[in-house]
Amino acid sequence: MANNIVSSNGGLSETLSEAEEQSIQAKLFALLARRTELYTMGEHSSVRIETAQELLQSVIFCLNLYLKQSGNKRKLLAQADLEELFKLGQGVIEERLELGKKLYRIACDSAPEIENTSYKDTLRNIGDFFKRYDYRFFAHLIPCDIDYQLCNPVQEGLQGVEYINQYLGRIIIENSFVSKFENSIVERLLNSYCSDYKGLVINIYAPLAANAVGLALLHEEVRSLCITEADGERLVKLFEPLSVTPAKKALGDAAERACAELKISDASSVRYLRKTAEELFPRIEAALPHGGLDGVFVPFR
Amino acid sequence: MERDFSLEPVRIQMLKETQELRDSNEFSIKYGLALSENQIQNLVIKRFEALRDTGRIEFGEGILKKLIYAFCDSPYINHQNYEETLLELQDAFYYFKNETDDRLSDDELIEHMKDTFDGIAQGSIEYLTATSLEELRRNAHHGFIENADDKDDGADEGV
Repeated sequence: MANNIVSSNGGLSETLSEAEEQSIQAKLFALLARRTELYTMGEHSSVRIETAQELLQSVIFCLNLYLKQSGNKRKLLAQADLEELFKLGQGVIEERLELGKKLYRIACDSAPEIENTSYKDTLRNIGDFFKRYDYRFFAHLIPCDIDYQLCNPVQEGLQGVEYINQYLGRIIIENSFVSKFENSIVERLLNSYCSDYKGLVINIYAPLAANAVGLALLHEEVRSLCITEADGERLVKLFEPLSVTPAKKALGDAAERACAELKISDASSVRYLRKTAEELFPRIEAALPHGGLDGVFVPFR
Repeated sequence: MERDFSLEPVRIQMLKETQELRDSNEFSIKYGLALSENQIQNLVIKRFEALRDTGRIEFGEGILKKLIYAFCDSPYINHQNYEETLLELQDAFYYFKNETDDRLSDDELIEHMKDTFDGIAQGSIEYLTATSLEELRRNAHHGFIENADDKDDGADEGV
């Protein structure tokens, strides 16, 4: 049992020597024992395997975070006092939490005045994250519901406060982009995209980004977000002769033009729109043989 | 040959527990109870089996030492049934830790087990597990646990 847990140390083992592996295993086991004792406040000599696994994942998350932050190699785990590294890792988490709270305030302040249940619920739930997050014992968990899907999802494998901070960073980018357009135009586009945009789990940024990029491709006014039937036909003609590489380049360049027109100079926001634009290509490629790009660039209805 | 380092902590735990049980003999001998080396080895092995079967993991000293200290003065335990009783108590302990969702601390559960074992169960592990602990489990599932002392006072009066 014990060996099952310690051997599943998700990512801590590397190409280390046998002696180093052995040292890490023993120290990790001792640290887990200490964390378990603190968790049960010394009242239980044993815990369920599931609980021990969560405690171990939390310890690993914390140690990895410290290694990442300090730029140290994993070899350090074999040489240093893990209890000490764990404390330093907890310090890193506390710093990230403070940053997360700031990001949360910015995200709330910049939230668009567009009705969307999943968006509002998710923002509220993230507020609860900061109340429920038990970083001392379960630092890798995300104790809140996140329904709202970002246009570019959070990097796979992120856990705990790292996930929340990246999610909030992306929400802020999306909020800032949405704020460049008049609410009435945004609502009209969303209504054309999905008549129940208020109730369904849809991303607000995605259709706006697609239309902005489409209009930039046609050298039309980006702020209008309005793609007419004629514009749709022009886009089909534009993409039909293009292979993957020039098509993606055209989309990426259009994203940068759209940013310039919308006065978005922040590098992360530009990168975000560029990535969004380039990822339109597989959908364009799939839709072209069927005669239209209405499913990619949303025509106003 | 590749060496399984993950077994190292378990091996250390086993050695530690073996020594603890040897040391416990010095205490239990006052009540005419002592474990042979074979019995100690068997109990240690069964501890890990009980943990595996109940899906639990234990760090540091096992529960056996606490069970020995709590139960060795029981009038229902003698040299002949000592090892077997400890094995059954150990199994029951881990089982009911799970079944009560860890709402009772180790000491509280052992106290409840001991009072019932020496009281209404009259040394019957079967009675202990099938009635008293079963009742404890049901109470835990209904969201409350009776105060072990109150319950056992009543039980003692009944006996």
